[in-house]
Amino acid sequence: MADGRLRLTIYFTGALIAILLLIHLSLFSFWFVEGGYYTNMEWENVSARMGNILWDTFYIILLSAVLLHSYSGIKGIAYEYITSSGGRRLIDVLLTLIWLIAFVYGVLPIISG
Amino acid sequence: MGEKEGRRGILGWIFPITNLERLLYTLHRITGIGLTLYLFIHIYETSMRMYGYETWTATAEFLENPLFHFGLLLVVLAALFHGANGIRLILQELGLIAPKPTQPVYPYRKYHRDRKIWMTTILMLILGAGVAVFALRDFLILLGVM
Repeated sequence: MADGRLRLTIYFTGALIAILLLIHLSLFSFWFVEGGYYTNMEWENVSARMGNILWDTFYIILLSAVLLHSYSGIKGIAYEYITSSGGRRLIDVLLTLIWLIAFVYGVLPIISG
Repeated sequence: MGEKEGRRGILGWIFPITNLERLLYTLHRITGIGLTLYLFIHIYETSMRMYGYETWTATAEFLENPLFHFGLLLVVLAALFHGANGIRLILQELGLIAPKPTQPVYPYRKYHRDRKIWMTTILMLILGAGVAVFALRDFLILLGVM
């Protein structure tokens, strides 16, 4: 079980994701958007969203929250099985590296306009 | 007692299987790991937009098949469970649905924590199932059933 700061991070980002994800998913729903998934996968619509500063901000916040949430969760699980300080340092470095690459890779299509 | 004595390791995720909270805990972890894997795939898939119209359209066409749509349905169901159970955990942590444990004082009263957890779990299941039914129509359309 993750402790202290890690658990608070998981709870805070989790609550944020619950709200943002509903907005993200509703864009692809046939209930709310004519053509639902298909409309929103069209190049013009994706580009229009990515060219909008508000949507860019929304997606960067969502991406950051989801990555931070998953990072904290996986780290919490890994810490249960790796108890040595050296092993935990290695896990920290590895996870930070992987998640940073994922963040950069995720942010680029958002800010590329 | 040695440091590792009494530890069940990964088996501790499952046993005792009859314990509701343990079951929810295990499902929460499994869905969390699954969603993390999906997240990386989703980031990769979305990054295809950087390579222009042709690549994006090819990616969208590649994903346009019943297998991927069914996979997406599983991802949404996993996210619903993870989210509903996560809200339950937050409410529990904040002491909103179950009082924080205190020292028992005589005369002892029956502790209703379990009942409250059950009630909240059922409430969360209903909430999750409600959203799942709501989302089902979308997937029936995607799978070409509707």
